[in-house]
Amino acid sequence: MIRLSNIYKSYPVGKERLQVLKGINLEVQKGEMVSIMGASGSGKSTLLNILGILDQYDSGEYYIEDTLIKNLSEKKAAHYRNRFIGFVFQSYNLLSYKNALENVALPLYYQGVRTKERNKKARNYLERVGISEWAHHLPSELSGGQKQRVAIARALVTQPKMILADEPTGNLDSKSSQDIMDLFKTIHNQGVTIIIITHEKDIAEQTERIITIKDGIITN
Amino acid sequence: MFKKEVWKEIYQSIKAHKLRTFLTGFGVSWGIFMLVLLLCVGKGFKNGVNNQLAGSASNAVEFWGGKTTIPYKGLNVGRSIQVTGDDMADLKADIPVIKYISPEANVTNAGTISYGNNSGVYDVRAVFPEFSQIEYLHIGEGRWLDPLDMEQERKVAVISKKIEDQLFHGKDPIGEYITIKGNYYKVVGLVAEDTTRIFNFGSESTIYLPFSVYKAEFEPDGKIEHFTAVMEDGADAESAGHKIKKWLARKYSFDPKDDDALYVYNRARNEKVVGQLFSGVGIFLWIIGCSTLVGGVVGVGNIMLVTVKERTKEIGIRKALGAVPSSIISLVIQEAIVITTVSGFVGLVIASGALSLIGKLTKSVTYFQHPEVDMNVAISAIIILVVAGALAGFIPARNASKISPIEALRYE
Ligand SMILES: Nc1ncnc2c1ncn2[C@@H]1O[C@H](COP(=O)(O)OP(=O)(O)O)[C@@H](O)[C@H]1O
Ligand SMILES: [Mg+2]
Repeated sequence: MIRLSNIYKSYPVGKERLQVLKGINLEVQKGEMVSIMGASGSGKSTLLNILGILDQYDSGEYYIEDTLIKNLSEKKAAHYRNRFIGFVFQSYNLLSYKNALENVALPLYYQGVRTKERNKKARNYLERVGISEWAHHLPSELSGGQKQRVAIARALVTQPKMILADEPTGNLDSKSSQDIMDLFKTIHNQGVTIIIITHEKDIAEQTERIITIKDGIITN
Repeated sequence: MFKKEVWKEIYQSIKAHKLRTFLTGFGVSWGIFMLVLLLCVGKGFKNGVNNQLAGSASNAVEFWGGKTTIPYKGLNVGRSIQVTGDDMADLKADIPVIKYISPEANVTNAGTISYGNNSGVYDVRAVFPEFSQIEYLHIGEGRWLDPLDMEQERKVAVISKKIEDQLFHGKDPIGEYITIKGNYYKVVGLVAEDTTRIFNFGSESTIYLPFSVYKAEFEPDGKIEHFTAVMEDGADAESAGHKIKKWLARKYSFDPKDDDALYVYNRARNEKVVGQLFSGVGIFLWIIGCSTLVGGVVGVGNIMLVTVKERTKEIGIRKALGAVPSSIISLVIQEAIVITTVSGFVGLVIASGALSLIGKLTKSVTYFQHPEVDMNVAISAIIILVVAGALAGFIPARNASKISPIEALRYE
């Protein structure tokens, strides 16, 4: 599904450069559900952002299936983000002035899907994540768990090649966290590739494979 | 113009940012409102004044006989200078720059003027037919005095609407005879009411007679108090006025420098001053209007900057979901265009309403006429603000659309 070889990434900090990823080699198979663990500041988010084409890397190679993701034009990058990837953030990142249904439908808007079709699909995915009765509520009217469900529905709605989730349960209580994990497992069982960042062991243990990152290197 | 979903996006965004939208919209509306109001009020004054000036020939000089105050060739001071109607023709013959000339002689002690059982007291004024080229009297019915009236000393009169009302009570006055000092005068014309002018010199209660009749009936010497000469177009009224005064000074033996022997009033010079004043006021209003517009542009620009900054995180989210930069830019710009256009027209509509109200309230104010909206100016001003808003939105939106999604998302 994805293949990373020798990925390096640094950030400018003052006049220095902070080397965050120091040669990441990684492969994730189609339909796998893996978790990435590591201490705070070890480079987990940096890695996932690169996987999600939200950020660029300095050197190395990153393939999604057989497409090299490197030095993409804005247009291409937008296209791949839209078609290949569903991203789930710790802080949900829903648009506050759009209701749940409209938030879920938004990625389809960027695909040029017609309004009617868009709403039908969005409703369908809200149903799948179990909050269709909240379709017309604004994010501010939803609980953390419900917001994350909306975000997951939004990530799924374009039927991407993979779901990337950066600490999706980081802001949730343990009950909601487990509900979200159950949801991910259901999605995974339907054949979707999922990569989850977490620093909670019991979350990570619910995935098929744990990747540990330490100081910008994968250690297992 | 836009697709339905674009309208919806704009609607949602506006709804979500009511204060920001209000501030932008208010700035634009206010700018347009003030600009339109200023220019139209300026125009109203200009129209009013032009109307005043248009009521009479402008390249004209007026003369009144007075008393000498400077001894001249051994003659005493304090002599009355009285010009005669016959001087008019001589002046015209000797000074070719005079285009029209006419005395205005009042029949003193005209007493009551009557028609049947109705009567009233009015000014009776004797003039040449060409007087209508000096004061632009509108003849509503019948005709004005003509050269034959003069030649044949016809006892004819032109009366005003007010006199018609008082003497004829709705009956057609043309062809009827009124009595002035025991003589019958045939009414041949009616001066239409002209409410747009302040300086109508009492013409609304004046009866005009041919000067020759006045001379024959009331003043055998043809002496007059006052006359007006209109100069050829483009001629210098000032120097023509001097020539006339010199001519009269020689004939009546007074010092041409004696201001009190013959009062001279140069209409052209005064109108020039008034004209300059109003073009000055016009320029001033334009400057204020343009400043208002610049203020509006700066305001819209600022709010667009803030808008884009505020929406940076949203832009990050949209980009993470697959938005291309152009869709981000158009999102911002379309919203800016819609807000500025709508509020521009709101300002225009309110200004038009205010103007029609002002127009109604000032209908009787003669020096303030037709404060109309110059649509070209108003639309141009709106276009300027819309373009400014779009540009002011474009630059930051383009920058924001270029930063990586993760950077935009980090923005709080
Ligand atoms: N935009 C940035 N500029 C500078 N330093 C950054 C930036 N993003 C992350 N870092 C630094 O890179 C390191 C790795 O960050 P991150 O990938 O977010 O770690 P994790 O998600 O594992 O906690 C941290 O030291 C962090 O401070
Ligand atoms: Mg992180």
